[in-house]
Amino acid sequence: MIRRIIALGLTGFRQLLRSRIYINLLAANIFMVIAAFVLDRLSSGEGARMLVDLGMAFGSIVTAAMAATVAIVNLTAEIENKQIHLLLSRPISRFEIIMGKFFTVVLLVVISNLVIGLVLWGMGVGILAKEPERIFWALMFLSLEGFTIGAVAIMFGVGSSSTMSATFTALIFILGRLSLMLKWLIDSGKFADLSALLNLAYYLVPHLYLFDLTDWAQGGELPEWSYLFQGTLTGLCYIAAMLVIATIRLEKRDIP
Amino acid sequence: MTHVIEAQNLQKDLKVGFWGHKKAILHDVTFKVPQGAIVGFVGPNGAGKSTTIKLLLGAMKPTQGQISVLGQPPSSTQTKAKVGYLPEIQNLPRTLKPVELIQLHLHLSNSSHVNNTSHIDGLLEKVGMRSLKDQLLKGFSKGQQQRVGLALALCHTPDLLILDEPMSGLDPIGRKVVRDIITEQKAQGKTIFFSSHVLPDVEALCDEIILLNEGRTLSQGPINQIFGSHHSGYELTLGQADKILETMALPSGTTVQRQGPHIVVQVDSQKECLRLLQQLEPTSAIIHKVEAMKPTLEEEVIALIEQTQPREVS
Repeated sequence: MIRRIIALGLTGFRQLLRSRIYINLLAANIFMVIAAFVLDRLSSGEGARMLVDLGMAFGSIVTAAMAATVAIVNLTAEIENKQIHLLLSRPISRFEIIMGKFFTVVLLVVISNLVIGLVLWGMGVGILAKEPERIFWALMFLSLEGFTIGAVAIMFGVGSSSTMSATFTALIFILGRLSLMLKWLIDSGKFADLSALLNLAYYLVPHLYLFDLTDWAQGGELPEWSYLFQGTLTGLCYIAAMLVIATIRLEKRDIP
Repeated sequence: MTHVIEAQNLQKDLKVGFWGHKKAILHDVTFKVPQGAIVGFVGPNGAGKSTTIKLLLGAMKPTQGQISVLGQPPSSTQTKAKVGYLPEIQNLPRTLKPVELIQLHLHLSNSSHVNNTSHIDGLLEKVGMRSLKDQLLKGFSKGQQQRVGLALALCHTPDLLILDEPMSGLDPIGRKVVRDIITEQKAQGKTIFFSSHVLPDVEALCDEIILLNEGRTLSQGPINQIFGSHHSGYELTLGQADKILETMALPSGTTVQRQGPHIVVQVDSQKECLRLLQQLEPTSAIIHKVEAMKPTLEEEVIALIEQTQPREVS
C-alpha cells in the first residue's frame, strides 16, 4: 500500500514540476522575499523584523494557496475531467488515492518551505540578523499549516467543483487564521445571540495560529514544548479527520 | 459455460441539476458475458453503455440489481487486478510520458513488470507508440492518446478487457491495430467486452452482441441468432447490358442503377434472379457478380431499435 501511495504522490509531484504552476508560485514567493530585502534598505534598522514578518506572511499565504491549488488540480479537476476513472479501475482503494494525492501536497509544502526557508536564512545572514536560522525552523514548522489546508482542500474537492472547493478552502484558511479572534468574540459576550454559531465555527476550523512561530523567529521566547506538541498533535488530528472524511465521501460518491 | 460478467436487472438513477433531481439512466439491464468471447456492447447515444461500463468497474454503484465481474463484486481489488479498462474519453495526464504513465499503472496494479523495460517497450510497440515513448502526452493527438490508453489497459496482462469505444478517434491503421490486438487477446483466452458505434468492426470481431436502448437490454446473442440470416433480395452486377435490359420485361419491384461502367440490378427473390439470369444467358451481357443482399448490422440495429420505440402520433 505504501509503495502505491508513494508512486501516486511522486507522479503527482512530477506533473506539478512540469506544469510550471508550482515553479511559478515558488518563484513569486522568492521574489516577494527579495522585495522584502529591498524594503529593508528603506527601513531604519528594522530589516530583520521586516524580513521575518514578510517572510512568514508570504510563506503562509503562498504555501497555503499552493497546497490548496495543487490538491484541487490534482484531485478535483481529475474527477471533473474523468481522468480519475483510470485510477479507479486499478486495484487500489479510494483511501490510497486520497493518501497519494495528499502525499503530493506534503512534498510540495516541504520543498517550498525548505527553499524559501533557506533563502530567508541566507538573507538573514546577509543583513546580520540575530539568530537567522530561527526563521528557517519557524517556516518548516509552518508546513503543518500547508498540510492542513491541503487536507481541507482534498476533503472539499472530492465532493464539490473546483470553484466551490477553492472558495470553501479559502474561507477555512481565513477563519483558521482568525480563530483566536473568534474565541475572543465568544468570550467577550458581545455576540451572545450568535454564540452557538461562533462556537461551532471555532471548534470546526483548524487553529492555524498554533503553527505560527513568528514571535520566536523575531527573537522572542520559544513557546513551551507542550504548546508545540499540542499544536502538532492538533494539526495531525485535524489532517487525519479531513482525510478520513475525504475517503468516506469518495467511497460513497458515484463518479459518472 | 462460465460467465465472466453477469449483470442482473441493473437500474441506475443519477442526480442531475442544481437540486439533484433523480434521473433514471438504466431501467433494466441484464446480460452475461461468456469467458473467452468477444462481446460487443451496442446501442445509440444515451442508451446507457458508458454508465453500465462504470458500474462494471465499480466507479458507480447500481441503484438496484446485481453485478459480478470474474465472480466477485466489481469494486473488489482482486477483480480489478484482472481487468484492463480503456475509457471512452482519453484525458491522459498531459505532463507525463507514456513510459512514466505505464510504470505508474504497473505500480498501482502490483505488477512485477514495473522495472521491466522490455515489457513496457513491447506494449508500446504493439500499439505503435514506441517511437514516442519519451515524449510528453500533451503533444499527442486523440488517436495517439487512444493507443497509449490501450497500452495501459493491457499493461498488467488482464484476463478481461473492458473497452469503451476503442475505435473512437482512430485512423484506419489505428483501427486495424485495435482489431488485431482484440483478436490476439481472444486467441490467448482473454475475454473482451467493448462498446462501439463502429458497427462493421463489431460485426467483424464479435462472437456476441448486447443491444441496449434507453437503459434497457433489447437483445443478447450471436449476431445471426438475433437478426437471423435472411436476405432482402439479390443484386446482379452486369456489363454491356444497357440496351439488352431495355428490351427485357423486368418484374415489378426491380431496380436498375448505373454504377460507373456497370449496371446494377436488384430483384426481390431468388426466383426472379434465376429467371433474369436465364434471360441474359443467350445475350452478350457480361455477368460480373451475383450476390444475396443482406442488411448490414447497422440497418438491422436501427430497425430493431425503431421496432421497440413507440411511434409519435402526429
